[in-house]
Amino acid sequence: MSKKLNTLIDIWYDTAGLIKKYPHLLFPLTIVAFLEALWLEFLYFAPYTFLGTLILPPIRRFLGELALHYPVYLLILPRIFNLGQIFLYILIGGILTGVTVVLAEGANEGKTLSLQAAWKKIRGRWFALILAALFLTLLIRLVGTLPIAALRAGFAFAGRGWLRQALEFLTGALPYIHFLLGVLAQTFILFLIPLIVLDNRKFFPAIGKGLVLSGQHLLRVYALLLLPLICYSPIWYLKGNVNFLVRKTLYPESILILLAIGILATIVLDTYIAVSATLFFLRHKK
Amino acid sequence: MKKTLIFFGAILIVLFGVLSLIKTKNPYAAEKRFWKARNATRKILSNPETTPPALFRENREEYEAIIRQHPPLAKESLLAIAGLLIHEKEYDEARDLLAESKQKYAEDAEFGARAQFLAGYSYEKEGNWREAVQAYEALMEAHIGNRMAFQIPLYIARQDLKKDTQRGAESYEKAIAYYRRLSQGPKENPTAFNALNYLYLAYHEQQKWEEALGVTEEIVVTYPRAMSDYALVIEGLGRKLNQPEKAIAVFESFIQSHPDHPIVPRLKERIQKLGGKRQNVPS
Repeated sequence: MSKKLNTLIDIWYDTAGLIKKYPHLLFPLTIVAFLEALWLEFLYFAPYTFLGTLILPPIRRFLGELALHYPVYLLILPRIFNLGQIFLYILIGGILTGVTVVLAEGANEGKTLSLQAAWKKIRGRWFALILAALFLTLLIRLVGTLPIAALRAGFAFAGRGWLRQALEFLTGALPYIHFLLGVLAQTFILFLIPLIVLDNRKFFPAIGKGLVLSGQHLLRVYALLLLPLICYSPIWYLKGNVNFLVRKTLYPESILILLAIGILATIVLDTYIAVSATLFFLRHKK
Repeated sequence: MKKTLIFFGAILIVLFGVLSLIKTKNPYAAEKRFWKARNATRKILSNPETTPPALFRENREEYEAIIRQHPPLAKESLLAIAGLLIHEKEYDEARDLLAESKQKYAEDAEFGARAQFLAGYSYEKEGNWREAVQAYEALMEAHIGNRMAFQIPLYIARQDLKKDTQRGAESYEKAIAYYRRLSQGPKENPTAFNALNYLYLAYHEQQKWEEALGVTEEIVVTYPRAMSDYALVIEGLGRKLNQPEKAIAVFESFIQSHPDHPIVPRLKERIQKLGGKRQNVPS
C-alpha cells in the first residue's frame, strides 16, 4: 500500500478515534443541528397553527397557492428548509466549525478544551469565519449551476450526432456530476477554516494558501472528503427525489423523518470533515 | 455538555408536543385527512373482491366526516363515496347519491361531468351496457368541450369493438360524426381544435390511414402551429400508406403557404428522408 494511501487511512481512522474519545467535538455542530431542528418543527407546523401567518405568505408569493396544500407543502419542504439551513450555516455554522477545529487541535494534543476556551480562541475571527461560510455556500451554488449552463450551451451547438448523444448521457448523470463537483469545490476550500483559526490568517490570504495546500494534495484531499460524503449520499439523493420517497412509502410525512435524519447525520458528517481536515492540516504543518 | 444536550432534546420534544396539541382543524389538516382517506380507497379498490365490508364502511364514514367538517372537500368526497358504493355493488344507492350531488352542485360543470361519468360507469359495472351508453351519451351532449366528454365516444367504440366488430364499427362512425360536428364550430374555439385531434384518433384506431392523413392535413392547414406536433405523425402515415408522396404533398403545400414558419427547415429534412427530391422543395 502506498504511503499516501496509508496517511489517508490513518487520518480517517484517527478522526473516528478522536471523536469517540472526545465526544465533545460533536457539541458545536449539535448547536447548529438544534437550531435546524427548531426551524424544521416551525416549518412543519406552520400550516396547522398560528406560525403559518409568518411563513406562508412568502411561500404563496414565490411558489404559488398550490404549494400551501397537502401534500405539496411537504414535497417542497426540503427546499424551504434548505434556505434556513443556508442562512444558519452562514451566520453561525462557519463560526462553530471554527470552534470544532480548535477543539480538534486540543484533542489531537490529548487536551479536553472547554467550549469557552475554544470560543475565546476564535474571538476576533468571526467575520472571517462568516465570510468563509458564505464563500463555501456561494461556491457550491455556483458549482450546482455550472454543469446545467454548460449542458445548455452544449445542446445549442450540438448537431444530431455523437456529441448530442454524449450530452444526453451527461444530462442523465447530472446528479452524480453535481455530487462529484460539489466534493471538488469543498476540496479546494477544505483548509480555509483551519487556516483562519489555527494559522491566524485573514480571509483572503487563507483562501490563497488553502488553494495551494489543496492543490498540492488534490487527490488525497478529494478522497478524504469523498468517503464521508458518500456515506451521506443516500440522504442527499432522497432529499433531491422526495417524490420517489413519497411514492414508495405512501406517507408524505416520511419527508419530515428524512430531514430529521439528515440533521442528525450532518452533526457527525460535518464534525468528521472538520476534524479530519484539522488533522490533515496539522500533520502537513509538521 | 450532557445537560445541554438533554435540554436541547427536551425543548424539541416539548415544542413538538405543544404544537401537535394546538394543531387546528384548518383546511390543511382536512386535506391531509382527505389524502389519507383517498389512499385507503386506492388500497381497497386495488382488490375490492377480497376487501371486508367493514373496510368499505370505515372508508365511507371517513369521507362522510370530511363532508360534515370540511365543506370545500365535499364534492371530491361525494365522488369517492359513489366510487366505493359502485365497487360494493350498491349501484342504485351510488346513482341516487350522484343524482342528488349533481343537483346540489349544479353550478359546477366539471363536477357534473364527473358525476355523470360515474353514473354511466355504475351501469357498466352492473352489466347494463345499454343504460351505460345512454348515460355516457348524455354526458357527451351535456358537457360539450369537457375532456371526459371528448374521450367517451372513443371509449364506447372500443368497448363495443371488443364485443362485436360490426357494433364497434358503428360506434366508431358515431364517434366520427360527433367529433366532425364539434370540429365545425368557430376555429378559435379550443373545442373545434380538440375535436379534430380526436377525429384523427378515431381514424387511427381503425387503421384508416387515408382518412387519418386527411384529418391531419386539415389540422395543420387550419392550425399551422400544430405542425410541430403532427410532422412526425404525417410522415408516419405516409409510410403506413406506402405512399410517402402523400405526406410529401402535405409538407410541400404547408411550406408554400407558410414559408416563414420555423418548422420549414425540419419539414425539408423530412421530405428528403421520405425520398422527395430537394429541387422540388419550394425554398
